Amino acid sequence: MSEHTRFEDLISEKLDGVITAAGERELAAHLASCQDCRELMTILSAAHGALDFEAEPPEELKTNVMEAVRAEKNRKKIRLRALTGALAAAAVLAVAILPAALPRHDKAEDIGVAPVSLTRENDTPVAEDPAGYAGDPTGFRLTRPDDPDTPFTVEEYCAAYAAVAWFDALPEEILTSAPQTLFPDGSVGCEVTKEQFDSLLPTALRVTHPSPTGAQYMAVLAAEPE
Amino acid sequence: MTADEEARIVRAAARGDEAAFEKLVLAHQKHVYSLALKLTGSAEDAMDASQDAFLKAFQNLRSFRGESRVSVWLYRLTYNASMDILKKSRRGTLVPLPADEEGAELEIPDPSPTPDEEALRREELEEVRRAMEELDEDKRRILLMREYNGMSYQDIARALGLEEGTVKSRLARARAALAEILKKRGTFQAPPQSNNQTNKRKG
Repeated sequence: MSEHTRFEDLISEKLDGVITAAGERELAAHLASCQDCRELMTILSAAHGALDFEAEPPEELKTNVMEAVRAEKNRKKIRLRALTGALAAAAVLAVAILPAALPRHDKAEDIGVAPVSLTRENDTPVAEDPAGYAGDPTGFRLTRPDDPDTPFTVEEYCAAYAAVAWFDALPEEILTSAPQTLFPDGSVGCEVTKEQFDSLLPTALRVTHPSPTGAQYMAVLAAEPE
Repeated sequence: MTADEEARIVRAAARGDEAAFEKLVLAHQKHVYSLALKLTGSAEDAMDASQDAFLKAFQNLRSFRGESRVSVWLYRLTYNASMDILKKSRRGTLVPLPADEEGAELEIPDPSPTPDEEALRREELEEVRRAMEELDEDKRRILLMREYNGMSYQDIARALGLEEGTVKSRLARARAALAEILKKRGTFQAPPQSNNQTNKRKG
């Protein structure tokens, strides 16, 4: 270790208040004879001093933070409430839009697919999500309550997510006039005619493509509701 | 607050317990705000950065694994939030501004200093802040941890995955580099027998 480095170390230790008595004596003796190290000591003490303060935060800091935190929590709640109906229906619609030709008043059991449900699971790391969709901006995760171990195909994912977008986009008059049905998995779905379906969701129909790509799926999500 | 207490509070806050989160804010706000103030040099920016850091903390409480102390985690969030704000306001540049123009923003709440002393302190802080920006990333990071954040050698060692002895010598090297920059800029240089304060003010 060079002499210079040695005294840099001692000065640094002194500033941090961890210098030993022997180190202190050694440094003092050196400073008496070394202009460079005296200068280093002066500059660093001043810089250290300039930073050595704790400022009392303004009262509003805590208030503002807690307001923002409450807003954040409310934002989540509103979104969940708004999507509650959509979630339930999506369970059915998701499978209902899989076949290219959609019979009227399709129900989950009619097409022989187990009911699925979407749950919010924003925190699921993508690594734990085999299809890699858990981290998507909708924050929903597809599960099969009756058959949790069967993995979903990309098509099912796409269809289910698109169904959420679709149901979200339904106009009020359809929601109020179309029959609401309770499905075997406990979800409530909205049954619409093929005509209504087609006219309402040109974007979602795109995912009836046999194997939609991630980009197509994202395009559906990003599309403006009619 | 012990580490165990803190871990309990973090878990409660992660479940959405506002009162628990408020406890964390109260325990750390001085630390967070002071750091943001030192980094941004402006009371207004420090306020924004502190709020951003705490909100980020709230949003990410679930991902806080407790490997480091909350204070260290908040340090990182505050540092990032401060840098974002500096970038946005484009003040994180090396262009020297007249001291009274920039310094006017900083209000260090401390009842004791006279206005002159306070002005000097603002100026000194600003000088150090600018010199820090010229350091390379490794040196700046370790100095920030120690000088700005007051972290112990042990905490720095843990955060950077280094031995304490290495932390000590890296700090000394970083300080020497900082002193070199300050010296070049003529900051804090006090030739013998002259008025210290006059010389601290850069022309």
